[in-house]
Amino acid sequence: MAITALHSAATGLRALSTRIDVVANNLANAETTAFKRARLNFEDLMYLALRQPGTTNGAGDVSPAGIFVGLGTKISNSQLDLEQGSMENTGRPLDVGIQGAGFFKVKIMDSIGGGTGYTRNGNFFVNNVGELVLGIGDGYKLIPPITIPPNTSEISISQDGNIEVIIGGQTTKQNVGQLSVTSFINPQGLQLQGGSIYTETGASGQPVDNVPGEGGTGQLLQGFLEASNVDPVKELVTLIKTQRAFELNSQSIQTADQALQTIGNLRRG
Amino acid sequence: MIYGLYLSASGVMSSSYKQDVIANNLANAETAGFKRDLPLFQQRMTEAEAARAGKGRSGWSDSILEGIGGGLLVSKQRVDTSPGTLEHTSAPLDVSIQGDGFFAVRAKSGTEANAMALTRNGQFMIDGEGYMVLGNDRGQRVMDTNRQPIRVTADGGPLHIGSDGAVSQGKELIGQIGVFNVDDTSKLQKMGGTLLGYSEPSGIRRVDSSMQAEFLERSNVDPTTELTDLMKTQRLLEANAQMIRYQDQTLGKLIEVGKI
Repeated sequence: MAITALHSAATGLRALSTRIDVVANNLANAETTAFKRARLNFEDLMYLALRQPGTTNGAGDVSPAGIFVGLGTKISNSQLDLEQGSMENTGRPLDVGIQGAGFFKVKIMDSIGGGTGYTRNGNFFVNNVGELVLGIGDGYKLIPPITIPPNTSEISISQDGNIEVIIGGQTTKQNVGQLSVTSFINPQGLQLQGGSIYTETGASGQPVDNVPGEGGTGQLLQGFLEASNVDPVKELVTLIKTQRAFELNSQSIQTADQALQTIGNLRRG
Repeated sequence: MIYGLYLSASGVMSSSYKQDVIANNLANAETAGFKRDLPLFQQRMTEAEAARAGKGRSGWSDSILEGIGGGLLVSKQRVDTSPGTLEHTSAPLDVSIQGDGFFAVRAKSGTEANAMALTRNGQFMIDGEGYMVLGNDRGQRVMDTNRQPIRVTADGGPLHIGSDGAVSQGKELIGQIGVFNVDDTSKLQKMGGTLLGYSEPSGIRRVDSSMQAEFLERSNVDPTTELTDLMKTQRLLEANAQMIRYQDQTLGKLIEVGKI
């Protein structure tokens, strides 16, 4: 009866309003460095069998198909779109962008993801003891750690992650470490922790550490930051579409409500 | 008189069923690869005919009643397999089929006979083990043209899907996404999760079809059709309810006549 329609439409409203939440978050992060937009995917829910197919009637005929009523929709997943964001030239020596797949590995709180986080936000700083840290969160340290000596006058980071410095007064470059990038077979399976940090899950597969540029991972670009990959036009179109679909479902609710009212008023006629 | 009440009641119930189906179609207006259900009706056999066929109630002797149809019955389920529009998503693992056919998926532990499901939803992902899977909450493996799963390597670089369904990683060909079709699309059955089941696994055969990567097939639900249907259904339901009310009043009058 019409009650099913009420519930089906409610599942639609719930799922679509979640999509509005996701789009709003995408738009809110349109200017967040290395932010990856998410897409909310839907799938149809279960089907209620009013009559099973294959039933036999008195004359021995077998019904070829049954009668099923669907029970609405549900969210399958919010899919990360890992498409490369555009590279913005900042000219700052400690800004490093990854051109291609891969993440920087950092030490985060032990309580989250086993203490290891991954990020594409290469906005590095040097902390009070000279360690290279992220310019986000609490200044997470890189894994493996890299220390920049005091009195460094120039830092150069090559495409494959070699960090060379010139210490004040000297003329020769000195190698102080190597940045590596980590890739996953299914980066879409990573867990989002906020603050540009992702952590490993069972769905992402094991992390694979690489020298930048090798094994399908990207090269590093010093002096660049990766911009958010949110496309405002796309998001707004999704927002409009979602709002319309939301309204359609509210129409279903109204109709089901009217039907129930009509039935409820039968005796009063 | 009572008979008419039942006819009108079947009208109300059928309309209400139709609303349920339309509500589900509208709820899935944004579900990729969703195919709308067609709520169909058939005329119910008259009681006289049912009695003649040797079933149902046999007490009808009034010849006038033999000419009366028996109201409405919900007919067997049909899925409208017409294609949805294609949406450019630029996600490399989104694939749409141009023309007829379905992608086939299989549960991790399933064998071909018991767990092959079809779908027009080409939202593919790679799972933690490297298998190409369908991006619904079940994540079944996508089958290639030989009904085997497709597996990518961890550090082989980005994937590319060609118009023949060939999946390549760098320059290496990894597999070819299979497209399958069935002998009789009216026997397709919804399983939820954008999947369609087919009662006769042997009837699923491979077809050659061209694909387009970075495009998704949208739901084939047309809001205009559904909304007009919804309004029509609403009015039909009201009309039938009105008929119930008239017949109730008539019955009431009859009872009044009997009172002195």
